[in-house]
Amino acid sequence: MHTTMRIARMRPAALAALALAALAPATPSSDLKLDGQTTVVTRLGGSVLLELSGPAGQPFAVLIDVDGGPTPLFGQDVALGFTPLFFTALDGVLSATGSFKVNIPIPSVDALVGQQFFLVAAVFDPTASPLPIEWTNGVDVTITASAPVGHTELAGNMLAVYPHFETVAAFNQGSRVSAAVDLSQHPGLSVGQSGAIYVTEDRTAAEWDANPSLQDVTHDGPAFITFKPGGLAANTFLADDGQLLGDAGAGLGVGYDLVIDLNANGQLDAADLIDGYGDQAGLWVVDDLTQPGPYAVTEIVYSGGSWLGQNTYYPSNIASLGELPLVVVSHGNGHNYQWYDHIGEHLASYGYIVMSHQNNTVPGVGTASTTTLTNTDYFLGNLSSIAGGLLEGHVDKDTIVWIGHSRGGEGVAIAYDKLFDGDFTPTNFGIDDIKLVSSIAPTDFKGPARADPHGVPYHLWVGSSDSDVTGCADNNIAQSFHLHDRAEDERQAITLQGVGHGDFHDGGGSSWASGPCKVGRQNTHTIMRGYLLPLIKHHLEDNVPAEDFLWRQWESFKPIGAPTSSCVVVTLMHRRGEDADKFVVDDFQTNSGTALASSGATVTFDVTALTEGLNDDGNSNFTNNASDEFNGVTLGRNTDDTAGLVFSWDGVDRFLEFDLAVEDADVSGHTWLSFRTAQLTRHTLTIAALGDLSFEVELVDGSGRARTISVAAYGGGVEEPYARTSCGNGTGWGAEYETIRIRLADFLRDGSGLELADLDKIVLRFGPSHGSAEGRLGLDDLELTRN
Amino acid sequence: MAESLMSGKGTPGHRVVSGFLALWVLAAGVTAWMVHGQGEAPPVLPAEPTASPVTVVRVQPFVLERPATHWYRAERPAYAAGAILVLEVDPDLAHRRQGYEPVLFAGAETLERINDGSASGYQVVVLPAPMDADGVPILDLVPVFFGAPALPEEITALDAARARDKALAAGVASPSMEVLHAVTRPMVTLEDAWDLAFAASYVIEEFSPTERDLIDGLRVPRLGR
Repeated sequence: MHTTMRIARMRPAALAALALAALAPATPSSDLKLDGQTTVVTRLGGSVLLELSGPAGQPFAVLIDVDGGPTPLFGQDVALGFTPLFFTALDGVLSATGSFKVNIPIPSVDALVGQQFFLVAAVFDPTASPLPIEWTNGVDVTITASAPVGHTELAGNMLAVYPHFETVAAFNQGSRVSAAVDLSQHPGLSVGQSGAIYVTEDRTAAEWDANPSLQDVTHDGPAFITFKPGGLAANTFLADDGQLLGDAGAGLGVGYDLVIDLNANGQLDAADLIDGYGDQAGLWVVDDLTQPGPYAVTEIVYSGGSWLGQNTYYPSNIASLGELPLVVVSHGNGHNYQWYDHIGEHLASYGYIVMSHQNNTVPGVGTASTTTLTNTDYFLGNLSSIAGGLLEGHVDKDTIVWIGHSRGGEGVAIAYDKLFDGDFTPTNFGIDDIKLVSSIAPTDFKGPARADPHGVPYHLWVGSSDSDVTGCADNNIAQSFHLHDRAEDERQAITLQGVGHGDFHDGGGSSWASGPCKVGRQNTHTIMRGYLLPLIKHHLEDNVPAEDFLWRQWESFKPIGAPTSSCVVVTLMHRRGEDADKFVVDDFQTNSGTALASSGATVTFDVTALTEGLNDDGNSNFTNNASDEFNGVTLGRNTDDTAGLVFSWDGVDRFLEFDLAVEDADVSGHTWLSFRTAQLTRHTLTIAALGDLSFEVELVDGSGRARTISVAAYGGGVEEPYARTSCGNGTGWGAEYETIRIRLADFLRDGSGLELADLDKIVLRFGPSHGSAEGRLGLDDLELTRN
Repeated sequence: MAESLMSGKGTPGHRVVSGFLALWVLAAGVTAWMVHGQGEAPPVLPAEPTASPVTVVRVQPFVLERPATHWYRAERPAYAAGAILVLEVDPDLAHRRQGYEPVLFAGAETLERINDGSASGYQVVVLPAPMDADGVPILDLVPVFFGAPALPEEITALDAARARDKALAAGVASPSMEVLHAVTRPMVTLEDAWDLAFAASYVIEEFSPTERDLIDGLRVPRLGR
């Protein structure tokens, strides 16, 4: 096909086409792509592949501008700004198959760096009505100085089923690292082409630009590969067999970049693929997080006066370590401030200062919260006295974490609320210095008016065996999840089956654990140590591999030293914060009817016994009862506003469908599809198939193309309830919600053709054709996030 | 001194009843210890905690040079005198739990619970009290009892008075003057609340010595001294 490409003002003919097209129907059948995407980033001197599809044999014009609009023209939104700078980039005629492709070279003109250009095509279509012209979707390209062609996600793990591969950030030391190339996503690559996989030390973009030589760090050198037919599964290659080292010292994860050298020149250049070009590594290898860090720890115990007893842990070489974050621990009722060595020693060995304090819990959680505040203030205001002044100048007063246990776990939330409400004014810190609040099996005496983490990142530990803060429906005070669901921004929870209230401290005595398959105190502490560092690193340092530990299924990824007993069942709930630039499809907080999602998406379903409502058990027990639709759900009390959905299926294929509003159809800028779900306890359909439950998630675009992924594809599934009795009749404890997170890119594997810029539906499919034959689930927080 | 210990009267036959109850409490304590050490769940609270006997076995009056805050009342009153009391109680009631706990009262005042006591059956508490003209604490021990489960920080003076009235109406016995004379120690003067807790640690060590972490935690070095 002959094509001319012009950098010129728009010609009269194109203007005429524009005028006509403005009257065209709103939904285009033509489609425009750059490198198979709607948004791309490319470097100077590189190129982008423009692909246009539409009516066969018809002329078209591609327009370009520095503004993506949309511009309303005669009732139609055109994805271009039509600024004075807009011009016709190229024109031509679509082939007999209705397609057009051209590589557009990016000139090496420095002035283009940082510029973003928007493109849209006007296609002549004689079959269109009422006028024979239509606009395509918009696409955009951003020019960078140095992003090499082929910057892509490569590192991950093979999966047994579609999508056949998961790209991940973190790998445990000793685990295999694989690289996968989806030829359907790289039009420039083909079957039979060879290359070599290099795992290199992590370099920044600038470092790569300065030194593009490839130096493999695996024990057996680069892996030579040849692309084969058979899709992604056939083009997944072993990059390392578990020999990469993950000892990051006081850090978390050793970064590596992964390169496929496609022109076999031992250099990173535009012909190659790289995972990790930029500020972040392509992958991280993590060693055993349950083990101590590199620093020896000094522990001191002292008092500053009444209710100011403090047990402080710090790296013994703190004099050489600069300013370190402060972690404050507030114990529970009947507990002691010297019972948290497993937290203090562990975190201090990784370069944190941990201060566990006397907590005045017996009068109540309000008083306990005051103790958290006064002890934090005292500590920061008396560094010249504590440890002989050794800590002076070495505490990062702007970076504080509060961890509280039990009444102290509610106390830290109340303490934050007091700062938020201005009810307490500390001398030596402020609300913005509190970066994370973490509650261990907290009570909820005060309810939403006081026990409210507001917008601070919030984390929760819950033991399903807890016989003190039991979680039973008969007592709102003993339902820890309430605090989690009040957190407005980023929030997460770790639920541990078989773990009791006393297992979370190291003071000895009873575990206060009820139920089968108890995990015990030492195993609990091992699990805690394994998650504490990722938790802190994620929130304080934005550590990328740390986040993997906070949401990936326990069955497929957990800290190396975590106990492996089948009794150890861990479920993880993690909702990203607003900084994830979320599109919330349905959080069930608004549009409380069952036909309309909070985003305005239309909801249709044929699952049974579907109810939308407060995420709260409707009575005072967990006994199965058809009239108690939210049986076992303890995310809120009747004065909370957390809401969700519950529904069933029973041996027949069923669906729950969210039809996105047209204005929300472009999800191509998002990375993840996420929701939380839980099996509902003691229900006959839960008991019928006791075990991890699975179902499928299907995305359907505007052209009817669909792709389906099972929630079990990544390991595990939706965990069964803990087999604990009491709290009514039957077996099974409260709902343990967990997050299911699927990369949107996984739906594009093997050339699915799915158009994320035009997503029509998100369909959850249940039943024998899609996973578990029967079940009853709670569902909430269906959303798309950008990172 | 003796006259200022109490402002109320004991009931006839109190000593006989209390002797019987002491044996009952002892037996209950053994049972509770077994539960505490081996059980899966905290002991179930009795429906009427006030009916459970509380025996005063030590009274240690004190005055403070610097007033302390009484955190166990909604008004957070300051106090500069009072007594460390040792109470023999049902260990199940002393057991620390995260939910509501029965509140200990002496007269119309809430008691600050210093130790756990669920293992020993001895509860070491602080009773804040006003002083008379001679600077001697006026201790109201009529009666000493467990009230309904609540958060002490939410209990007002009025609530406390009502709880006392309810206990008296229910026939809760008060300690006799003879017993109180026998168990009362000479008054001590302490500097502040920290010193009070420090002093209490020795009382805990005497009556509930297994609470080692608590005892040690109250005796750690005080900065600036």
